[in-house]
Amino acid sequence: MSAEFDFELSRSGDCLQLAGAVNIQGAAALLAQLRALLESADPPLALDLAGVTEIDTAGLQLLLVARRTAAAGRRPLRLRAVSPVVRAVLELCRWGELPAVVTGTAS
Amino acid sequence: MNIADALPTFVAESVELLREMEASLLECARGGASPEAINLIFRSAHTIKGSSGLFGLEPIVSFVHVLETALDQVRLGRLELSADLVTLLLRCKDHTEALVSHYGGAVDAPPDAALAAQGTRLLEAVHGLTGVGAAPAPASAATPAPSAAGAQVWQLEVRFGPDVLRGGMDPLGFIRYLQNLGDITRLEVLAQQLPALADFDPESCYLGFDLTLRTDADRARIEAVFEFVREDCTLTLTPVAAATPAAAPAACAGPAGAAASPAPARAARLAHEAAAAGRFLRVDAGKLDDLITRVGELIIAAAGATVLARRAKSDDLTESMSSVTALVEQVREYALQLRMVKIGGTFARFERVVHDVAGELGKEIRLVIRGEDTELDKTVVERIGDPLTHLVRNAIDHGIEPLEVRTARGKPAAGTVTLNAFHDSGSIVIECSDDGGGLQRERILAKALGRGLIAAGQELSEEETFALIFEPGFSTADNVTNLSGRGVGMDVVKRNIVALRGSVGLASIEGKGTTVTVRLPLTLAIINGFHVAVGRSSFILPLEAIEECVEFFPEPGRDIINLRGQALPFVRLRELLGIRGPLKQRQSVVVVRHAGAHVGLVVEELLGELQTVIKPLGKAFRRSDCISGSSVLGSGEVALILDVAAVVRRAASRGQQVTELTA
Repeated sequence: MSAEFDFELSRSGDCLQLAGAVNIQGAAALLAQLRALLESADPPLALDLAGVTEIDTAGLQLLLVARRTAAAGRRPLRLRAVSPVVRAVLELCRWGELPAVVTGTAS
Repeated sequence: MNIADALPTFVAESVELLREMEASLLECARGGASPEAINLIFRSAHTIKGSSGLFGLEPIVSFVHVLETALDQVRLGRLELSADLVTLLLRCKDHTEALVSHYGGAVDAPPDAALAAQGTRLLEAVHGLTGVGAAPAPASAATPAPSAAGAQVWQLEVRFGPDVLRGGMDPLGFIRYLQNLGDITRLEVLAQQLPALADFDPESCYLGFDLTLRTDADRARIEAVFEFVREDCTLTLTPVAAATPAAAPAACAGPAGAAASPAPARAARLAHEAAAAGRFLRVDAGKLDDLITRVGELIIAAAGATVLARRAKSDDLTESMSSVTALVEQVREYALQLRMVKIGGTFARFERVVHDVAGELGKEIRLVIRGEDTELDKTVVERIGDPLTHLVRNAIDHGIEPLEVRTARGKPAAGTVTLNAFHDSGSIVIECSDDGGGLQRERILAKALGRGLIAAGQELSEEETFALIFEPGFSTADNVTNLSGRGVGMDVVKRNIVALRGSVGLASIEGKGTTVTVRLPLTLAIINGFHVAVGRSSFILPLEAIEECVEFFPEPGRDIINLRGQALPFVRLRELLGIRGPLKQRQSVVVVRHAGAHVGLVVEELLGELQTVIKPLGKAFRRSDCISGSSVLGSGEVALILDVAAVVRRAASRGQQVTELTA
């Protein structure tokens, strides 16, 4: 929970709920919180982005890193729900889902 | 908000950037082509192009675009920043400034033919020198004509630098904006750079994008999207093939200006800048002038109230008035401080003057600037530019000797012109010196004699001789000799400086160099004065000029008094100004100092310090050269402000005649 930033991270059961603005302003704080959760003995297994009102490149990167870390630890973080702004970014990036592993080849 | 409202800010910012560009170019010209300087020049051009695009000022965008491209080549080390290129770039800078100020008047009016032709000539010159910018044909002509040929397909490879996020930019915003130009038919996010969680810096950018864009926008418009991240991004743009007209039409129905950039990025940038620039505020100079006028009125009103309080003999009132007065004084200080600017900005402009004049004359000149932090009133600064330019040009043109002469005299090949500024007893002193040939006294005298400025056989001191140079009519047309050209327009210089309540002097050593000293008041609005009276008339002396006040004990038959063992010449204001009326028993001497000389002024009453607003004199008083202005005192009485420089001069010239009247 953070009063200084516009995002809100909460956990209910195995599901992480992220809401508000996921952007550069709160990126460092969000990273710290996510990292603590992901590296804990009991990491969350799902991610709910239904409450996200804003997402930028920094936010997107952060989620990609989180997903990849979770996948590497064999406790994948599934995307459960997305808000319209998150969906727009996923569509822009041509992703059906937030990829756990992103590869790209320079064309 | 109406975009026209932002135009003055655009003009002011651009002029500032152009000035920085000029300073850096000149730095390069002096052999200091540091990467920072080149980068700064490039960034200035880049920013001007970007903001001109926001206003849709296409002629500026296309002109500066060529400059920018050339500068980019320089920056990448592919092009040498030669002296010729610097000179050309300086001219391009001037042209850009002309364009900017042109549009500052009206956005819609295209530049006139002369200006446009100048631009074309400059672009041709740039092309000739650097190969950049295929003469006047704009970039769009190289690519298929927009819309007519239908949509074109482009491959875009966009890589962002790690700091782009910290710079307030959002790469996704740029990609999103591309959708406004056309259709993104393919997109790949490159995230291989994304490190492990432990090494991940949430504020660094790790993502890149490869995409295919179908659009009818030309190359320049696509590039313009990334305008604001050009520093932090590499863009590779490759045309693929012309699409069939049957292909999906571009998504943008009404494109928002050719070089408009993504609104979110602009907003982010502005927010970022606002944080940095929050300490400064642009204020209309006219408002400051109004404020100072009002403060002036306030000072007069407060002085009046103080007089009334004293008269009412109410202690409470007097006490409260004294705190009001103290506050008013502080307000005055602050108000004037607001208008104080460092002279460095004015001095820096002379780098360019020196560069150009030295180039014209084929002389090697070094400009040394000292005292650039010295502050003076903006109104003064604005009006000394021209006289100073004249002095600097003169110093280079006629002061510094030709190379052969310098070598023969054992001087360094490069001549040095020095500009120096410092504060001295309430004035600012600006010196313009050169290490040139100096003035030749005999030749000045001969010339003055020939022009009828002096009589044959007249004995002149060195100072008086040099002062002849500032006489109207001394100027000569034959600029051949070292001496003759010196006088060109010097009378104009003097007139301009005197109009600012200043004075100008000259010292010269033959063969060694010349120093012209300009002395100006710090501000034209308000003075700290010392109130004296002679007969029934009130006078104000600038407090800064006053050294001390002593009682007057005339020594019969002598025009000097003994001041602690030092001889001090004096002048009676009563006589100097032709005041009649009964003479008071006691008289005092106010010792004033001007330009190193001390003179005593004999007055009849010392009435104390006051600050006062200077009102210019009416035409009737213009001819009285000992009076520099008038002021309304708190009591409503009018006091004349004495021009100490003139009084000192008068005292020096009529010293002998005073003696016989002393009794």
